[in-house]
Amino acid sequence: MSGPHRTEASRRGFLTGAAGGLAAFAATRSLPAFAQDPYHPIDEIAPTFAKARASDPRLLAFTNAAGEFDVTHIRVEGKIPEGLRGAFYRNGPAQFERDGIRCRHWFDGDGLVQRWSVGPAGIGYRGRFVATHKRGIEQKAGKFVVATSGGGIAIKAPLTGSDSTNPSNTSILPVDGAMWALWEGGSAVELDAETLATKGYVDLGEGSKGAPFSAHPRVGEDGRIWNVGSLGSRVILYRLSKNGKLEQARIQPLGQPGYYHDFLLTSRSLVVIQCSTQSDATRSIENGSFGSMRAVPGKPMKVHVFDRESFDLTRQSELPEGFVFHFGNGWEEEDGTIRFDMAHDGNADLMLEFFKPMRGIFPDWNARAYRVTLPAKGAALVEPLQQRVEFPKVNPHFESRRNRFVYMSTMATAGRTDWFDAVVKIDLEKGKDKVFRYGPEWMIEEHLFVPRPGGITEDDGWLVGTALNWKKQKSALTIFDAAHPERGFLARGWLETAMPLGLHGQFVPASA
Amino acid sequence: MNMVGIPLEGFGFSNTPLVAGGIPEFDKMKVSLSADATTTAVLAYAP
Repeated sequence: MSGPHRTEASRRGFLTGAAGGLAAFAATRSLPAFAQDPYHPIDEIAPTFAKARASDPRLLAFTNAAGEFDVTHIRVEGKIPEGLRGAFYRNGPAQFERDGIRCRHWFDGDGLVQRWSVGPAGIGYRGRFVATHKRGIEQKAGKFVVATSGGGIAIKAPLTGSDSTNPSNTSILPVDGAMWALWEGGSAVELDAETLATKGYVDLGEGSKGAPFSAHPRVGEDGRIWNVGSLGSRVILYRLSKNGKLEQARIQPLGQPGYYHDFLLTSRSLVVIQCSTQSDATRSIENGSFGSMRAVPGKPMKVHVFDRESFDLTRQSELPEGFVFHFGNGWEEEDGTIRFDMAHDGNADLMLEFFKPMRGIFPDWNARAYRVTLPAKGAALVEPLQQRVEFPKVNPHFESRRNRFVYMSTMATAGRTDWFDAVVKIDLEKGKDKVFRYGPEWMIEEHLFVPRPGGITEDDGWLVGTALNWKKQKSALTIFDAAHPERGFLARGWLETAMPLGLHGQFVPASA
Repeated sequence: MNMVGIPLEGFGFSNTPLVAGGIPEFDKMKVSLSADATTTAVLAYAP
């Protein structure tokens, strides 16, 4: 399985779709008729959404952002903890409509990066769209003209490389004083960390230029950065210096198709886990890579473990059938046992759920937290934890090391399936959970752990996250004591407007 | 080409068909020559 893998370009092959990879679906076949059909006529999406929104104030969460603006001091409730200084960044899709046409998939909106600066002077806000090639030509055209991952757009612009379609809307990573806005089908885009001005696509070097660079890089204890690039039935493995210079990139075959979004990094290994999906290459330009992805009933998830230095495959395993977007953290014991947590959904058609918000329907969030033990030999042990979760995060000082706590967004209101309204601190060793309920009028986003400067214990720090209050129609940044989120928040900063729900963030502490 | 097979330099095709993620169909690029003729290819630079 090791050794360089020859790249292939076929007639329709070199760019088959957007996120999820270019040559991603080279080895796939036509699929039977779909159980769930996301192919609603593109002209009907916007009116369908407008009708639903008229009677559901929560749908503000999926409208175009009010714009790019700055607020020097937002209103703050409570007291910002001493020692918490820095900037909370969040990326997410935030422009879904142009000229009466609405994207078909939530993950197709243009990326808006929001920066909430936190310190003794209060909380400030700045929001800027990532100035991608896609956004530039669509602003000029006044309408959508670029192919998307959800498909359906009347394509008027050439698709000549992965960054032709890159909306740069998924996550963000601090690298050497700058911020990299990330998607998963193309390059990182470098932004100024203060002004959020777009500087350009990150070119990692000749062979890697324009190749998929995924949205969940992981940083080792030595500061080096690992990432994957999704090619479906193959994977690009990347290792960068702590300054963001490419050390190694290598394509490894995975032996089967299957979507993957995140991965795990331990002290020795890089673990790629493919969902129980496959894709239809023949329709991925028109329908997008998300519209071409389907569950394969009975197919387990496939685990591939690579040596994190050599990138050689060391072992493979299986997990129960389903779909995983995110892992909190993984670590490895002396004997090669790998332990990690995951938010696993038994519905391997999970990607299709996120077509729904564009039509004003809430996705069915069913992922459950699990603790997984992958022994050096033999079958994986999978133990269920909290239900209805997503966005797992841990103390960054414990990433790729043994961690005890993981923080996730969850649903604490009985019967609720539409969106997260609580944060949970899960104790992986004792199985005890601590929950802070925002309440039913909230839709919460990912919450990040910010270590207390000089702190030693794993939960010594703050939990910081954003959320949308649909009753007040305002967004807020909330700060908790990470040891006791259940005791209520320490401080909350209110924006006087609502921002669309975002995806992933990073907290960058102020230097000195 | 980069590691996934995408040209790093600009490329183009006769009749300048819309490039949609691969090499356009031959029929969209072919040029019939019954006598001396001129055709134009516009190079598209990534992204």
